[in-house]
Amino acid sequence: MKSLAGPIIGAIAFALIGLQPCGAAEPEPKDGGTIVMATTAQVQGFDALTTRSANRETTMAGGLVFSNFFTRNDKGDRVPDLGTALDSSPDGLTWTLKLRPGLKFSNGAPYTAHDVANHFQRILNPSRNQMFAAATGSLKEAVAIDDTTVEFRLAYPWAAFPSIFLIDNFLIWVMPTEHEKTAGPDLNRRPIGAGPYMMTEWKQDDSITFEKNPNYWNPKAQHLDKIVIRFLPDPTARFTALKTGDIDIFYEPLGKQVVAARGDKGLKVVEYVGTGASTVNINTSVPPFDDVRVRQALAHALDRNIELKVGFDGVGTLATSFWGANSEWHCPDVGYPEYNPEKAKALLQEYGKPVKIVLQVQPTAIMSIPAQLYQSFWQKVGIETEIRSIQGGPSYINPVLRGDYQLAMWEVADVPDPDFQVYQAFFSKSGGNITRIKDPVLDQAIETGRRSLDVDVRKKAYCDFSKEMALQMPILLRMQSNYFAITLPRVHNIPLMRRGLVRLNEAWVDPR
Amino acid sequence: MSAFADDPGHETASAMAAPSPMQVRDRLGFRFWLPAVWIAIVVALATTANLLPLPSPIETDFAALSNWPDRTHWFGTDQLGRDILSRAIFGARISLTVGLLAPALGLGIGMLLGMAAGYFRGRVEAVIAAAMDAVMAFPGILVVLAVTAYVGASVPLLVIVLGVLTVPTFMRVARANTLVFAQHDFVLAARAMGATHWRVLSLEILPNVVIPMLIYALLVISRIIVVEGVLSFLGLSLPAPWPTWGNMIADGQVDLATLPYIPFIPAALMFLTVLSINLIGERLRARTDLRGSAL
Repeated sequence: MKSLAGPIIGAIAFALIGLQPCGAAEPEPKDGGTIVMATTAQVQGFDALTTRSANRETTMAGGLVFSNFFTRNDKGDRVPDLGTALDSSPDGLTWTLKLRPGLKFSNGAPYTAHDVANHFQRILNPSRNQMFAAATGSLKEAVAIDDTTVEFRLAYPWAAFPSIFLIDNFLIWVMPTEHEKTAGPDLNRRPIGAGPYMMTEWKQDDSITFEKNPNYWNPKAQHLDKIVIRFLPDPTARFTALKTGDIDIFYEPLGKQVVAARGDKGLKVVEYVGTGASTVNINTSVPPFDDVRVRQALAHALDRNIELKVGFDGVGTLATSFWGANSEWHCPDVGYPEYNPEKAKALLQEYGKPVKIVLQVQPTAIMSIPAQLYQSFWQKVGIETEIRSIQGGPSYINPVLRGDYQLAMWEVADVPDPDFQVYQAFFSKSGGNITRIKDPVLDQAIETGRRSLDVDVRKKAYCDFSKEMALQMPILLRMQSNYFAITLPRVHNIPLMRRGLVRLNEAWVDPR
Repeated sequence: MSAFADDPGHETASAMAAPSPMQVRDRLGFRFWLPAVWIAIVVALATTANLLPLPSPIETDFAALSNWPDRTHWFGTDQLGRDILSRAIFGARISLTVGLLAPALGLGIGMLLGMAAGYFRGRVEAVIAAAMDAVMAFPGILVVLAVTAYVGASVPLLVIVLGVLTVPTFMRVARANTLVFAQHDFVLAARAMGATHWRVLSLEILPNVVIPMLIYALLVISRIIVVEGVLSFLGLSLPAPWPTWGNMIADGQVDLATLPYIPFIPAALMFLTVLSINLIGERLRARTDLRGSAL
């Protein structure tokens, strides 16, 4: 045994070295080649007023065409892209964005502050779309001062405002003013941006293709000749396509596929634990959920470690707030209800009436199996659960937005500032308050977090928010947002998957 | 055998051992009996499921998650530790209930309308045929998807919707058969003797039409079982946790690579059941098909 120890330790050390993130030893980028990424959903389009929302596939495609004013490196530092500076007035009511001089759209037209201001005014026009009210916060207007300077005027100081320019976001995809005015309905499918790639082909229900933008300001960062995003909804088919080399990136694998890929030397797993969480939303305005004891009982009845095993194949972290241990907004010991079926029974006994509930899920095994698990746990404490399957898309989302639901599986996405996660969904006066929670402590914390420019004050506010959420339970927290992609080893330079996005703007590949 | 030994005709009979087409048609053979035994077993298990020493089909066992088939769980357990044998047997109830009742409803209405159309002809036939054409113009599966998505699935609803959708085909088969029998001498004789329409239809035509209708119904049953499975797979049949073969397949599809027994067992059961019903129906059809007879 002793004689084997050395080789075994050596083998383990070798394996660990082999598993090191390749950042330190990242080879020189190579130009040329194609990346094919397969995704669950289709790209919706590129005009915010047409799409009204954007799934991750859309955001990833838009990131290629439009890029961003700033990006973030792995440390989270702001890196200039289309913008060079963003400064606030002392009162926090005016922000000035400086654009990189000489920018051009992919069609060769100059990219100026007037295009940016026109785009924001189009988005802010209340007669066109109220959907963006929460996302645009206290932004009142955007004004072009000169060709490279845009001034953003706010109704009140809004700490989260600068983070709008840090994330790929369909609301800030600026197209030439003339194109926005004349393209009509085609605008959604004919994007013209100033990002590193431009859309060259869109086969509905199949794929969307991007090629180099010859007018991009930083050609050194454009490594790939072509990027193809393929729509392949079945995760098993995506995994097979990756293993056979038909695709290079498998976006959104299942937990068990991540486990399999980790043991496969021919594959790389890209992983990111972000803020946000998968949730079960509770409509607190309808009985029996208008009684906090019932909401707490729901939480106490669930053994989330079993859910981690059954629903997520043991991959991921249980959430106790939107901000996990690696987030700067993390708050330890928020008091999230622990598994305690006896306590659940006692709470229900106090409530004193039979509890029958309806849980809305999508008819996919990824949701239906955890739903049946919940049903089983709740049955054990005396709660009768009906599982209602509704196909994904508007028919699933709209009942929740209307408040025509009891419980619904949902997700609070990863975003750079907590304000985006909490204001719209949990502030009592927000139009997007989908849980219908009305709680003065929550309101106070959310308002403080939104308006204060002091980071410590904001951290305390979001800590108070998390603790009050654990008491009021307008949502059941499931897993911390944990994003995965599996790639072939030839794929390089994928940055952190913030918001679950695979950003291919500066990716490159080894030749096949 | 010894009785044949002295039979001078025996040698001739032996030389002609190959059965005649009539004999082949009359003999049901193993292609009928084997599927019939399978269907009998499935029906017997489904109807007596409550009496069998089976674990609850909805009771989760977190100590036995995703167990492969073994002595304790003959068909293994699913991702929530539920016994797959038990779920398969209870799931057969839904498939068979919907599969039998929906065609029964369609058969009842369709035969009534078809016989009326084929017997009375004229305006009655025109109105019924137009109504049936209108029903058939709807894409059936979309109607079912829409109704179950909006109203919520239940066994009575599935029976009604699927049953109504089978009415036109039953009506057409009934009308075609009625048209044939209505021209036969025994029907003309009954009418000449002053028999009422009701008497002619119920005593002269119905007994002749009902046999091919029942055999056709077998084929419809197999189709309905598959449709119910598709609806379950899409999450539009009975809600969880109650098992149906379709939702068992759907729940198992993500584990196809690692736990193939979870979707394959209910899929195999559905396949064998549908195949058996088709084989029985085909055999009975061949046996009762007058076109091939020597009459």
